[in-house]
Amino acid sequence: MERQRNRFLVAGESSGTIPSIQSYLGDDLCMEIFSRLPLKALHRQKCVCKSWNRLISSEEFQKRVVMPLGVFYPYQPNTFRPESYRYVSLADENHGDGGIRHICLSFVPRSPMEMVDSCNGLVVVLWMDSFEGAFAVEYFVCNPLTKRWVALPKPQRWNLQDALKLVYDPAVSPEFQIVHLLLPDSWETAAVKVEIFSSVAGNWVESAHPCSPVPDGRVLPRHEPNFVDGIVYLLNLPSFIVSFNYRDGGCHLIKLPEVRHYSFLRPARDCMYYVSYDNTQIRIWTVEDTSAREWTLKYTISTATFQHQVTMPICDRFWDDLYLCNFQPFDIIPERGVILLKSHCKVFSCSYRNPRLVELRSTGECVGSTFHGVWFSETVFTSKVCPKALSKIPSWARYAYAGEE
Amino acid sequence: MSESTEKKMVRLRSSDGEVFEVEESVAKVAKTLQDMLEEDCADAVIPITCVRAPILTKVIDYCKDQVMISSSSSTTNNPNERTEQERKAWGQKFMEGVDSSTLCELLVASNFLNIEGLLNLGVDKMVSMIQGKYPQEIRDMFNVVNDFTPEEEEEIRNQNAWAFERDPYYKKRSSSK
Repeated sequence: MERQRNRFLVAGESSGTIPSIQSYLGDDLCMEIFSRLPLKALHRQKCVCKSWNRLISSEEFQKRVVMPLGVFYPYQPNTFRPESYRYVSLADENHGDGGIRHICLSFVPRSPMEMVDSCNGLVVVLWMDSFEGAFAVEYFVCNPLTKRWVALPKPQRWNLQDALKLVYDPAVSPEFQIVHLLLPDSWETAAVKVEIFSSVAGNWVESAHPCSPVPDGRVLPRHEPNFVDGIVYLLNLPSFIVSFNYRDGGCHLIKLPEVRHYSFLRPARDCMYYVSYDNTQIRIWTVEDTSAREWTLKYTISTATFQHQVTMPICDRFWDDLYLCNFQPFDIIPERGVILLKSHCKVFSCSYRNPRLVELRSTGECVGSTFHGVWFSETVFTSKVCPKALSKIPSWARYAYAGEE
Repeated sequence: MSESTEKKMVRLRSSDGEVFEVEESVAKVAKTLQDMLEEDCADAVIPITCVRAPILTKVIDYCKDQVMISSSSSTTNNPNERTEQERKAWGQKFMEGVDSSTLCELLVASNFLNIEGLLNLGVDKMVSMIQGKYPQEIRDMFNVVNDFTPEEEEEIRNQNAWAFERDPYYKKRSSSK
């Protein structure tokens, strides 16, 4: 990696036959200047000349400006304000934190709001207000990096317990979809109806194929649906995973390796991860072929070791006794071999091969420090940031904003 | 305003041969010079080979100001101490009227002499100059030759079309069917 980067720099220097501002200032100073430009201005400057384009597009520079991955979390629980969300970068020695500027959700137009989902640089937030007993609901899709947002048309039906999954991959298409899983009318019928919003069509359409097989227990739509390659995965507690192809309605059940009260699911392209935990242990299970259903217990991490690695304020220790699990895992990133944990107002990453906690710090001014003895229970989102996301305001937008960064 | 300590002077020579005599404390604002002075490897006249006299004058102005701010003790009320806002305003004023080529030289000088504050000011100034401009304006400003063919430029422009849209704008949807 290091060698490659050097080669790029040498090539960049030798090819500039005309003494340009870049050769005068040097790549390093240029990158410093470019990295402070607002994204829009930056992307415009790619057109100036070949060497600028090369520099701005270079891997080294991209690492400096676009942070590959980070975590959104509400640092003031239960306030539901755009400002109460913080973003921390997932810096590591290979990727760096990209020196990204402060990312926040404070540009979101409505408050109170709640972050509902995020995917590859896009974020869905929900604004909800009650007026004379009736709920007013509005969904916004936002790009926190460019501060653009659009208001979605209203879904046909809506319930607080519904789940929403944003499907967006800028590498595949600039369009996004939202899969809306509706709470069943009663647990007996137990089929989860599905409404899909497509940014191409600009409207919600109810899928002809509901998600139906529920042998026991119940599907919890609200329990973070997961999505990979056109298939939605839901935990069907206590003992199954439902895999549901929302395009053709194909439904399968996958038996879980063990039943624990606290768990989450992370399907990846090649492998399914299932993480279960309690107050002493985190277990990471994988299954490579979901039809084979043979789970392997890959890693076991004892949370007792964490206690010695981080010193918590005394008031927090008091709450440990009351709360089941002090270090609560919420995501796993197989590409990096890390598991992400939250503990009170802090977010940690931890390699599962060599369990050591690394605190993730906000690039912004502060991470919540004065906590009133509350653990944050709201969902935490891991997301990439992407300048391309929502680069055009679609025509269906009820209203929209493309902010000056 | 303390004059108790005797002031050691340092002489700096610009690339075009002009010699500047400054107090040691002023020269030490530049980390590169500070290292040289502390290691005692500085000659009677320190040659600053890549910086022209008018630029060096400006750099020295900056250093003098830094010394003035930090001279009186930092704990007691310092009349010269600035709030964040004043510092910003001062920086803006310092960079006022600096054209693009001077700015480039200033950046190189502060990078070479390792003066972080000045480098920051310069980069910020540069950013403000580039920010609202379109590629052609940038080329004119910095004498950059456009080495793209029109087709290549068009392609890159299309790839980054969103960056050329006017903003900010607020859009109301025409009522749906």
